[in-house]
Amino acid sequence: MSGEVLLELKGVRLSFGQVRAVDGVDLAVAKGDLTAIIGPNGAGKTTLFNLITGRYRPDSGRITLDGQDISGRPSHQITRRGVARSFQITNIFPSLTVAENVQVALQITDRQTYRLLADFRPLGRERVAEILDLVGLTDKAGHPAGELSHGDQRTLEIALTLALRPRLLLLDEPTSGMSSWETSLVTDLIGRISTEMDLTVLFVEHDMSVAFSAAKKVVVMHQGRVFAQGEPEAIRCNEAVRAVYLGEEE
Amino acid sequence: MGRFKRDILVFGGGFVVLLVLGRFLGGYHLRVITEMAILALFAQSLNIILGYGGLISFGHAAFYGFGGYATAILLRETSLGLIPILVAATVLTTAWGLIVGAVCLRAARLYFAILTLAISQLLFVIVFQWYSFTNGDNGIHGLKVSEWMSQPYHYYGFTLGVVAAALFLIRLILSSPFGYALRSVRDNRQRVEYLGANVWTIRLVAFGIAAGFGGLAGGLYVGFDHMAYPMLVHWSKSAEPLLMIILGGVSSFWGAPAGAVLFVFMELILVKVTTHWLFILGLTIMILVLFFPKGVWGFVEARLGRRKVGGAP
Repeated sequence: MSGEVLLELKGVRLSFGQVRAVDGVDLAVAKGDLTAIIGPNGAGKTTLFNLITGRYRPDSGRITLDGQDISGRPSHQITRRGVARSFQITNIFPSLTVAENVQVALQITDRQTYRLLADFRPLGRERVAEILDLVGLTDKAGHPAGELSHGDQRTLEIALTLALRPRLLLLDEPTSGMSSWETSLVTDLIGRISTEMDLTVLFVEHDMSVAFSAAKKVVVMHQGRVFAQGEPEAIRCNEAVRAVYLGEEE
Repeated sequence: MGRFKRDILVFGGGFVVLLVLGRFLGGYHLRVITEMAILALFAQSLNIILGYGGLISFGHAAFYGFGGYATAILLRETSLGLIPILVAATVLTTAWGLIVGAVCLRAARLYFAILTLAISQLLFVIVFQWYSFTNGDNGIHGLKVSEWMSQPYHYYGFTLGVVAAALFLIRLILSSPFGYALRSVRDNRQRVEYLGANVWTIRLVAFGIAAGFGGLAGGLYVGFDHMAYPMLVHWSKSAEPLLMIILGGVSSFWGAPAGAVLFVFMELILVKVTTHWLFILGLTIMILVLFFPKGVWGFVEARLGRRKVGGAP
């Protein structure tokens, strides 16, 4: 473990009826970590994200961000504290242009939303250009977001999360549905974000090769629990992990 | 201020042209255009939450009628001039809109729509039966506005000025950060929440603004008609701006006003031909929805080859 702990979960549980979706998760994410969460379908990965970001309230347990309890707070408040997330299903503003999408994210972060008579257009122009440049969407700035390719839309969503200047970035299957070319671009982007912007990143990944190549640390979930965690190499060689997960997949 | 130049030209220019044109029109035509202008504002006020906010309200007459009755009662009870009364009516209706919005926005989609309808019908029943205050089903008649305001041409000019200013203000709001936040909520409310904004508050503010402008339109109408009656609050009055928006097109700024003009125009022509003009109107709307899903204005815009992203402006 490197530096201080940014995000910590202690004994977090959530059930839907009889199903224990998340069944006592303990997890600590240190500042600057680049962590992949893997696990078979229904392991509770996305539910875990939903708990961290306040979409669900845990039945029990505590979630702290930088030592402050955030469990069960409304999503927009948790976002305000610096937790940004992307979704498994692309979540953008299809009728706005690519640049406007990022602008809206910036304006909300900068608390400009209730300026009823201000001009929206020049807002945050430089920051928008920077972010679009970083993710490689500069030449599509004026396109309606709804008309982008799937891969570009997913990349735009990452751009939106970056506009929030987050401390913790949660990406839910950032490469799902992407071509192998797009996947390698996004994998590379995640790596750059984490180092260049000094961001703590936690991402759920279905594609094992992406998880093992991009992440510095891998957490394996199984049946709502953290089954194993460690360096990618250690996880790859872990016999128990192979049994519950890798074996199933192949 | 650069962004205002073209708009000021359009709104100011349109105002002056109509003002000059009015010089050559008789009382009947002045009244028709006055009504068109008022309804254009009414329709646009609804379109703030419908077209830009993605909220379907079946109860917008609750604000049109509220503003109308507020104007009527203030005219009856005070000696204030029409202008301060309209300002007061707009403020009161905005406050009423915030209360109604706070209740209705607790619910989602269809339930929201039904709640707006229920509250507007509640207001209708109150207005209809509270004789000592609203004069019940008789309505409030014989309201006096100043000598100057009673002249059709003067009221025509006054209404056009107020409506142009109000539409201009709405356009500013829609092109502000708030306007874009509102579009974003329409497109994807979950994403807005996860950008750290409170969706409920954004919608509530929009609802209050829409109510305020709807109330102003209602007040203008009462100042024009010199009376207020329960039909101003009736659900069928809520349907009118919806139809106008469908006629004109939901996805652009000028759709709603264009729809209002078309609506009044069709009513005038069809009423002469048949007593079943609503039947023809219904047919027209069906045809429009099937063949021109973006409304008349949307069709014109497509023909002019203008690309609109996120709805005008």
